[in-house]
This record gives sequence, structure tokens and C-alpha cells, in this order.
Amino acid sequence: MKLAPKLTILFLLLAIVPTAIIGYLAYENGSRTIVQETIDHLVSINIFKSNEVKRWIKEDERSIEELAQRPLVKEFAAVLAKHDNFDSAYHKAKGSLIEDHLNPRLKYGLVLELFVMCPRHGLISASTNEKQEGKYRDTYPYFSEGKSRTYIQGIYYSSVLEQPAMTISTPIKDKQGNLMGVMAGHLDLGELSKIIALQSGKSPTEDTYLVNTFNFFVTEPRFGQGYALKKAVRTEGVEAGLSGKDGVGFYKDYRGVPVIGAYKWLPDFNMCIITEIDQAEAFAPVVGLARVITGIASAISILAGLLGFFFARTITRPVQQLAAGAEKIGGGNLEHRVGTESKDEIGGLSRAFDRMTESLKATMVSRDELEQRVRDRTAQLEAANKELEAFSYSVSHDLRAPLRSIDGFSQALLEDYFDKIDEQGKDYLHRVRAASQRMAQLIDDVLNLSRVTRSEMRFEKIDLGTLVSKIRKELQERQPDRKVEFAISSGLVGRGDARLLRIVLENLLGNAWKFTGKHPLAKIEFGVTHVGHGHDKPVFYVRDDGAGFDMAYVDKLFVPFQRLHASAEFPGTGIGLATVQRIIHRHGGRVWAEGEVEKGATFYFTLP
Amino acid sequence: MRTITRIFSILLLVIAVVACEPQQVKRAPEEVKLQLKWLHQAQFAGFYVAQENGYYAKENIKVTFLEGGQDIDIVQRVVSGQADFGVLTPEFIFAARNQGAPLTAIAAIYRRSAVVFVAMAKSGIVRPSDFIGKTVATRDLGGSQKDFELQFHAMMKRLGLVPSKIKTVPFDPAYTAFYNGKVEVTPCYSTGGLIKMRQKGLKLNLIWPSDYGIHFYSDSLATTDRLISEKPDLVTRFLRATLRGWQDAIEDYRQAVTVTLKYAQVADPELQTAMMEAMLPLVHTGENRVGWMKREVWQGMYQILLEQKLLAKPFDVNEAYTLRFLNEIYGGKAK
Repeated sequence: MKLAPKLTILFLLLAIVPTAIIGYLAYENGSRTIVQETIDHLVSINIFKSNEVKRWIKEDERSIEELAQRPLVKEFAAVLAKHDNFDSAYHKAKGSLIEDHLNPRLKYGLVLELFVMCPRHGLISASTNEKQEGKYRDTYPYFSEGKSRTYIQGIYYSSVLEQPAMTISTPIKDKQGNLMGVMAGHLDLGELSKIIALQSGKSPTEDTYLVNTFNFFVTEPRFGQGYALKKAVRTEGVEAGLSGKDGVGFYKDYRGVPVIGAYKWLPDFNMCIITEIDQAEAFAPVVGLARVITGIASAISILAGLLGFFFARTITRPVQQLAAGAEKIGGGNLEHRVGTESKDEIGGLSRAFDRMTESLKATMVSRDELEQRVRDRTAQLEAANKELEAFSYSVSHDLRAPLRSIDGFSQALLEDYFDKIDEQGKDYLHRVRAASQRMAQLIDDVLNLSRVTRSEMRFEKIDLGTLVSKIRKELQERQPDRKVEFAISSGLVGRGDARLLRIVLENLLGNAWKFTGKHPLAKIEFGVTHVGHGHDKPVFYVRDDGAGFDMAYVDKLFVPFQRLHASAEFPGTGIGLATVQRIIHRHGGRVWAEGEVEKGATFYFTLP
Repeated sequence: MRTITRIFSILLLVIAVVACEPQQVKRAPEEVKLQLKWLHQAQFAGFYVAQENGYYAKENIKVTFLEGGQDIDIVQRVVSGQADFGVLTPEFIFAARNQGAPLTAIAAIYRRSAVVFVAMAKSGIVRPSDFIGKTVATRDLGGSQKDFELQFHAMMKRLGLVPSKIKTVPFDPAYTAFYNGKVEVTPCYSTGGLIKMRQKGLKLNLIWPSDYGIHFYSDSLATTDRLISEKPDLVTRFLRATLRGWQDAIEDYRQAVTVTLKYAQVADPELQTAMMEAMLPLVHTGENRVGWMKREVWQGMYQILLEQKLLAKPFDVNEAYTLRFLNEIYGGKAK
């Protein structure tokens, strides 16, 4: 991966991990608080409303009990209970009971109907609703239970009222404690509904309702109509509440909507009260919190990502520039400069790189100049050399004509005037001739030397052994009486110009032949050695056991016209070894010599 | 090609594994025929719900519903074994029992009678004593409306009113004479005729016999003594599934209506809903569990029938019903 994305990801991770952890903790903490608050709220609603319901029922109870304990009511009830025949006393008692005691109480609005039942069959003897009179209530719990105590008949479906009803009954007893009747009242459930439906806040989903032991709704829930005593509800909260528990749960309500619900069993009424709120609403602040946290975390992450990207760029851009610069300079453009303002390490590196390019450029320029100078000088030298060679050639050539005249006329003098010239004159003439011949020989050698340096070279493989053998034969033919032992290694092959190498070997072998001339028995060797020179090229050598030389003068050996021996002792012009050196140098090889006086000399040379 | 082969071999393997699985010994479901009291309608919603919710299947019972009708003798159907269970009212059970037909009620579905006497609100007739000198269309046609006459006389007797002072005419299911005022009081079912009258927008006074000490069970589930003694387990299972169906029906009557509409002859959702709403308080009285029966109610009914000389000879009323299965299903708890 490249540096920039690497750094960006690193920055992102560095930002995301801590924000995620902190965010999660904040969310957990916040949501727990919010949910706890909601739960507390629901529980308090249940407590508040159930207390209100209790208070309301208690009030109704007291109201009905108070009626039943009025002395006049007791008297009237006794009349109604005793008289089966409907005489005037009966009607008077009934009328007074209804008019003076029951009807006024209706105005309080607590009950819908108040009535008195006879103790024997539960016959309704007096009622605020005249239509109810004459009915028997002997099978109703509010009658059978109401005979002995104040009794609340929980919410049941009244086929008389054709609606849910709740009835409170209480016995009417005379001073002796004999049962005179049962006073009962149907409660106005509108009041109950009001209490239950009372909204504590602006919550759009908060919903409180009562459920009886048959799992039926007792009051209308917020999101249902005609549910009261007509629809059962079996949610988790209701089941828990009906099993006598108080608590809170997360479950799906009667609509199938997930809610938080608080349930509370009301033992006095055999009902449970449920208050629920949609989880969607309850969790809305939690979701909001989560959004805020996520928003902050995302913002931090984006910022970190951008920062990372920016920093990565500030680092990688100079590096990229440097790399691009190196590429260009490597491609040969020494004019290019990376050029950076940056003060950091990479800036330093860039500047160092620029300095390096600068000095490289300077070096390259001086090298070019040097090469040019070398080329110029070489050209000058070549021109000078050519002139010199042309000069020496013409000199040598032009010198031969006068020399031939000197020699020719000296010979003519000796022949034509042989008798007229005394012996001394003849000697002088001989000397003139010898000197002129020697000079001609010198000129020939100088010409040869100049030709060696001028002539074209043709490289080929040459069997050196064979060449040496041919030269040996020529030497032997020239002086057949000399006894020289030759040791020539066979199969020695070198690369070079055949004509020039022949000159080299003629010179080296000629020298060996010449300098062994004073030894009655001589030995000349031609071979190859690899050792002693430090590189892999074969080193050829010519060795003799002749006069040798003093190693002190080895430097002068290859200098033209330098001689280590008197020409009287060993004849020669002093050009041979100079020629050898030139030829070997022209082949790109080296030539050197080792020797000792009277022990012989060895000449080494290499070929490409 | 290879894929197909592979799929095929996997299928074969699956089939083999399934086939090798130790099969639960599942017997074929027992066939049960239930004779309904009348044509398919919301009146029998609980049975449909039990069927639809698979409660019968869960008890390994396959139920066939047999519709009732004008000419169908339900007692005969059950006693003869053409049906295993019958939905019928207690007075028929008593009558059958009295004639030696071994019918026994195992649960009371409608624990309050749907019989109600109605008078126009403006007539001033609010209680049975107001019937004196009026015309009441209560006479039995000799069919299934025996309960109208029965309850009418029982109510009169209970209140010490003399029936001869009341003019009785035959019951007219069309209520024509009642609508045009020739008949001041007519009985009807709160689950039937009453709905029709209210749909007409009539203002009515309702006189419930139960307000005057006449407590009758209505639709009850009965079977033969033989089935009870031979296959008590089947009876328990059938009753358990039935009661669950009824429980569901009262707990969510709208859903029960939806189910009913699959069966009902008159697939009128409005009518079936009204019927359902009317019968809910009769099935679910808010006192005891669905189907529960009380000794004193049976005795009260027997007493009334005996008083009205509708029983040829006295017999032990406790033979006409049994709490055995209700006790078994509800664990002996009435509430």
C-alpha cells in the first residue's frame, strides 16, 4: 500500500477507535438514563392513577354507605321489606326513599342509578330508574355479597345497561342488626375512564388501561374502540400484571407495537392497571442521542481522515517530487532541480539531492571538456606525427640518392683508380663506403619503423609456433655453421596482423641469434607462460642464453638508436626493439624484458 | 447435468434420512360429527374458530359440522349416532332424557338465554306485570321456538301473574303483527330478531326473563351417555378444543366474525358482527370460565319444566348434565 492511504487509514483508526468507544459508553449511559426515566414515569403514572381510582371508589363506597346508614332509609327499607302487598304505606315509604334520599344523591354525579333490594329474593323495590323496579337480583354477587358487607362488583357487562358496569352494594340493617335490604348503586364509569385516560403529558402514545382477570379490557385503551369487556388482551405485561406482579417490561402491546409497559396488580378490584408507551417514542431521545453521537463521531472521523490525507500529502508530495526528479535526472536531464521550500527532513533530502545533481553536472561538464581537449590534442598529435613521418620518409628517401652517389663513386674510385691510390687511401675509401652503407641501412630501418606505425592492420589468428620455425630455418640457412638449439612450443596461437607479428618475431629471434653468436653452443626458446603478469592473457616469450644485459639499463632497451652493446661487438642499428615495442603497442599488448649479463635475456609480449 | 444429478442424490438422501427417522406413532385423527342447532352463523363462531385455529387438529380430531334446520331433529341425530355431539338447548335435553334418550350436557356455551320480550318504548310496557290485558306473540309453532313459551309461562308463574288475562297469539318470525301494533309484546332472540328490529331503528323496551328469576342456559353441548362411558378421552379432547375456540372467539370477536364469514349462509359482515356482539355477554358472563355450568341453574330449569308439566315424570336432574369434563379441563376451577 502506498504511504498516503496508509497514513490516512492510520489517522482514521486513531480517530474512530476512541470516538467509537467513548460514543458507545456515552450512548449506553445516556440511553440507560433515558429508559430509566421513562420507566419511572410509567410506574409513577400507574401509582398515581390506581390511587385516584381507589380514592374515587372509596368516595362512592362512603356515599352509598352513608345513605344506607340514614335512620329514615332504614325505616323505609324495613317497610319495603316487610310489606309484600303494595298498600299506601308501601308506596309512601318508596316515594320518600327515592325522592328524599336516592334522587338527591344522583345529582353528585357519582352513580348512574341507586336502588334498594329486598333481602329475600333480591327484588328491586325502589330505584331511581323506575323501569328497574320489580326485577330480581338474587343471582347477582352484588346482592348475595351485599347482604353482609359493602361489596364492589368489579367491572362486568350489564345486559340491563348494555354496557360495562361497576356496582357497589351495602347492607341496610336495623338497630338490632336485622337485614332490611341491600342498597346498591351502579357507578358512572365515565369517571373511571376519565381518571384512566388522564394524560400526564403531551406523549402521543402513552396509554393506560385496566384489564380484568379474564384478560378483558375494562377501560378503553387509547388505540381501540369498543374494546371494553369485548376484547381480551394477552400481552406479556398483562399476563404479568394478572399474575399479581408489579413491574416493567419490554413487549408488544395489543396492537402488536413494541412498547415499554408498567403493570400493577390492584388486589382491591381484581384488575391490573397497565401503562404503556411506544418504544419508538420512548427511544426517540435515545435515537436522537445516538444520532448526535454518531454525528460527532463521524465528524471527528472525517476530520481525522482529511487531516491524515493532508499530512500524508505533505509528506508524500516532496517524496514523489524527489522520486520524479531522480527519474528525470537519471534520464539524463541534469538541468532538473527538485526545489523545495520545506524545512523538514525531506526538504533537507531534496536540497541534498539538488546539490548532488549540481556537482554531478559540474563533473560531467569537466569530463566533457577533458575529452574534447584529449580529442583536440590527439588530432594535433596525429597531424604532427603524420608530418613527422612524411618528413622522415622523405628525408630517408631523399638521403638515399646522395648516399648511393657516395657509395657508387667511392666504389668507382676504388675500381678505376685502384692503382693510383695508396693503401691508406683505399682504406679510407672502404671506410667511406662502409659508412655510407651503414647509413643506408639506418635509413631503411627508420623507413621500416615509420611504415610499422602507418600501415593498416589486419587481425587474424596466427600459428606463432609455425612462424617461429620458419624464421629459425631462415636464420640457420644464413649461418649454417652455427650450432643453436631451438625449443619451440607448438600450438601457440595469437591474434594479430601477420606481417607485423612476423617483424616482431624476426627481430626477437634475430636478436637472440645475434647475441648468442659468441657462444659455441646456444639455446633459444619460444613459449608461453601465464604466470608472473597478473592477468589471464597468454604471455609469449623468446629466451636465449646469450650475452644478456644489465637490468639497470632495461629502460633503454626499447628506445630507438639506444644500444647496450658496441656495434663492433654485435652489429645493429638500435631500431629493432623500438619497432617491436611499437607493433606490440599497436596490437594493444605489452612488451618487456628480463636479462642478466652473459646469462641471456628473455623478451615477453602479450597479444590481445 | 452433473448439478441435476447431485441435487437428485441429495434429495434422495434427505428422503432416506426422513424415512429412517423414528416416526412418532401418530394415529389417524378421530372423526367427530358435530350437529349444530341451526344454519351456519355467528351463533357457532367458537366452533369455527376452534377449527380454523387448528385446536381440533391438535387434539387429533377431525370435525365435520352438520348444519341444523327447520326439519332436523337434533336429539334424534345425536341419539341415533348420526352425530357425535349436538348443540341444543337444555329443555330438549330434559325432554329427551325424560323420554329415555340418554343425552347429557357437558358444557353450556350460552350461559344466559338470548330470549327477550320486547315492547315498543312508547307502549309503556316495561315489566311482565304490564303484559296483563295485552297481546303477546308467544305461542309455540311446534318447532324450535319452544323456549319462548316456556320462559313466558315460567316468568308469569314466578311473578304470580295469571296467563289467562293475557292474550297469546302464535309467534311470528317476521314480527309483522308486532310492527303494525296488533301484537304489543313479542319474544325474540337478542342475537337474532332484536338485531333486525334495531336495524329498523325501533325504540324498544326489553324485558329479560333472567331479571325475574328465570335463568336458562341456551346453546349447550351434549353427547350420548354411551360416548361418555366408552370414549371419555375423546369427549375431553373435543370439549377442550371447543372451549379454546370459544375463548378465542370472545377474546377477539372481530376475528371470530371473519372466521364465521367463511361458513355463514348469510355472509353479511354487519349482521354477523351485530350477532356476535349480542351473544358475547351470553357466552362470557364475566363470572365463570367459558362453558361452565352451575348445579342451581340446572335445578332451576328442571323445576320450571316440571312446574309447567313439560316433563312426563320426575327424574334426577343431575343425570342430564355432567361437570366431569369441565372439571377435568379447568382443573376444577370455575374462574
